[in-house]
Amino acid sequence: MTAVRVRLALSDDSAAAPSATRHRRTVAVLALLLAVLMLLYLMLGPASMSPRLVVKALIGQPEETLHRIAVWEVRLPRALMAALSGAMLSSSGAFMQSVLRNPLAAPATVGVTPGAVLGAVGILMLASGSEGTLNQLNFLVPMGAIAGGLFAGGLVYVLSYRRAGADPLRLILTGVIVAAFLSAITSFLVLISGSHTDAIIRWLVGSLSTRSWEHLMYQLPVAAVAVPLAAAVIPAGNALQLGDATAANLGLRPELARAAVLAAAVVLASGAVSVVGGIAFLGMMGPHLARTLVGSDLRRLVPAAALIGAIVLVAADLLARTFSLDWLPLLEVATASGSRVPVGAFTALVGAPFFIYLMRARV
Amino acid sequence: MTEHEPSIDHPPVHAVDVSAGYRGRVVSQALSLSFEQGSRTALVGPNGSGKSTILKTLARLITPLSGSVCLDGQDIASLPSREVARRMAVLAQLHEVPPDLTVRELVSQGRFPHVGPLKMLRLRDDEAVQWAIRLTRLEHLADRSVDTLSGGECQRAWIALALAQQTGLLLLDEPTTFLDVRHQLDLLELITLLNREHGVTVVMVLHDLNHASRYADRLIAIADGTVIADGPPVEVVTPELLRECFGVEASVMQDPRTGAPMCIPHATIDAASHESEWVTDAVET
Repeated sequence: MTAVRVRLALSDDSAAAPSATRHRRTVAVLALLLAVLMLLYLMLGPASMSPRLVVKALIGQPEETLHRIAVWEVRLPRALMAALSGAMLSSSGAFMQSVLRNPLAAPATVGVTPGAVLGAVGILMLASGSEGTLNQLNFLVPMGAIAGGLFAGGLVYVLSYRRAGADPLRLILTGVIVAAFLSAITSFLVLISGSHTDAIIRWLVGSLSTRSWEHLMYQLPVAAVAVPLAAAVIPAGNALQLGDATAANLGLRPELARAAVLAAAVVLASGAVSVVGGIAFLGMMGPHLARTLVGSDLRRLVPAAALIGAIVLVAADLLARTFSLDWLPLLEVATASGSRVPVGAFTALVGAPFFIYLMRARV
Repeated sequence: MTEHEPSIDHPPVHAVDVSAGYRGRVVSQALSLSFEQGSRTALVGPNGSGKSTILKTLARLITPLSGSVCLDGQDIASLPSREVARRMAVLAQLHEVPPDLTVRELVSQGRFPHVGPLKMLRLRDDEAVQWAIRLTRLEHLADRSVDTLSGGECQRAWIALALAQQTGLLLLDEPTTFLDVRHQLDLLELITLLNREHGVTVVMVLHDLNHASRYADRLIAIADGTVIADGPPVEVVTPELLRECFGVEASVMQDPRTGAPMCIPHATIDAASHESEWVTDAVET
């Protein structure tokens, strides 16, 4: 009798844990972690400085001009771009995985990232023949990426559309094929390109080097469109992850709702890639990590995935900025733009093993 | 009339001369059915008879090929889908559950038709959600992930989602499939409770004839997309119907406890003779 009562009490205890407050705490911890990382990002570098000096530089009272340049002109825009791009890429993946009901869905696997990369590389190629100045390229390359991403997303949707609509499985399969096709075109362009090869490779892998406020200014309008759009489609996404019949029962038109959610995801991913290039794994890994922390309800999953994406990309770029190939004594590497490793290489090198671990632990 | 008021003149759901089916395949033709306020109806029939298609057409999950389905006297096709979802809840046969979605989160989706997409962004546990969870006895599982529940609990969670919609009409497509006998009874008792205590009009597709005759006031037997019998269980469940509709020889007796008819099928009818019977039927009509 006592034993039974004890067991009941125990099971009640574990069930009564109010998940809402727990999840709110998780999101708060993630936000704090991001803030700490951002501060570290501003502190560390060739001219490392204390938090006090960083704050002084931020509020416009730097002790040395160098501090202002390092914080304001080099590190802050790059940190903000890393955070914003990571957040957009990862939340885009969260929408795709939910609405397509497939854990493999991500901007990279359904063709949006390859499309955006092709757009950027295409512009770089066209520019290599003409007398384009660097300023024009700074503007045209992100625009090419956004156009490429939107085009690829639209193409996948149109190709999967049959009769009543584009069903999730067909969307994924079409996306994988389109992704492979667009990547093949990019490879071909890289092969025939005489110049700009280094810049192109950095686009393929994903890099934040040489990014400035100007790039952020091109990304912000996209974010300003994508974020409200993303927030507005969260409830529809939630209904859709319960199946088309349930979504219809709740008063949605499943086909329209799915198109709207995917459109938001495509804009988010295109905006991210337009500045950082083809970052690997983040769009797939971010939402998976977030799901283990806060579950599948998009009202929590999307913010958590965005925070995790921002954290991972800021941390990876901090590594990329500080780590130098010169540290590897056996390698004598000298690329045109120095011995820094692009951030995308870190997300791939760290992301792939971590992803395998996550899969083995959870599935 | 913007707000929904149950009217006495019109049955809650009412199909007029409906042809149901999919593109290029008519499943059922010229069907007219009417369901009274507060009734409990079971659609029965063999596999492929079209009973699920008819239910989905009533539920506007499939558009009728011709004719119309009316909800409180209004054509369902002319009503905004969310407005329909405030009056009618549908539990489909197949659903998807993402990993790590709690029962409470699942049930709260049922509020969508009432609060709309923007207010759904706020996470709150309103009274309708609590009521639905309480009625389906899921309080102790509310924060558990749906994919860790047993089949019976899972089905109760889906019913709770439909209840959170707070509709006067509930349509269920084979709600007892994949459940063991105890959980089947449990679910049918829950549906009875909703019907008796809360006045919910129920239309359900059931496979088990004995369950149908015990838990419904009205049976509609469907074969080949046509209604071949419609009435209270005692009138519908007969050896003739079982032969004609299901192709089995069966004895029908009375359940000593409830008085409902009970059937015990004991042999299938030879496929050839069954088919020829259909041919004669078709010629006659």
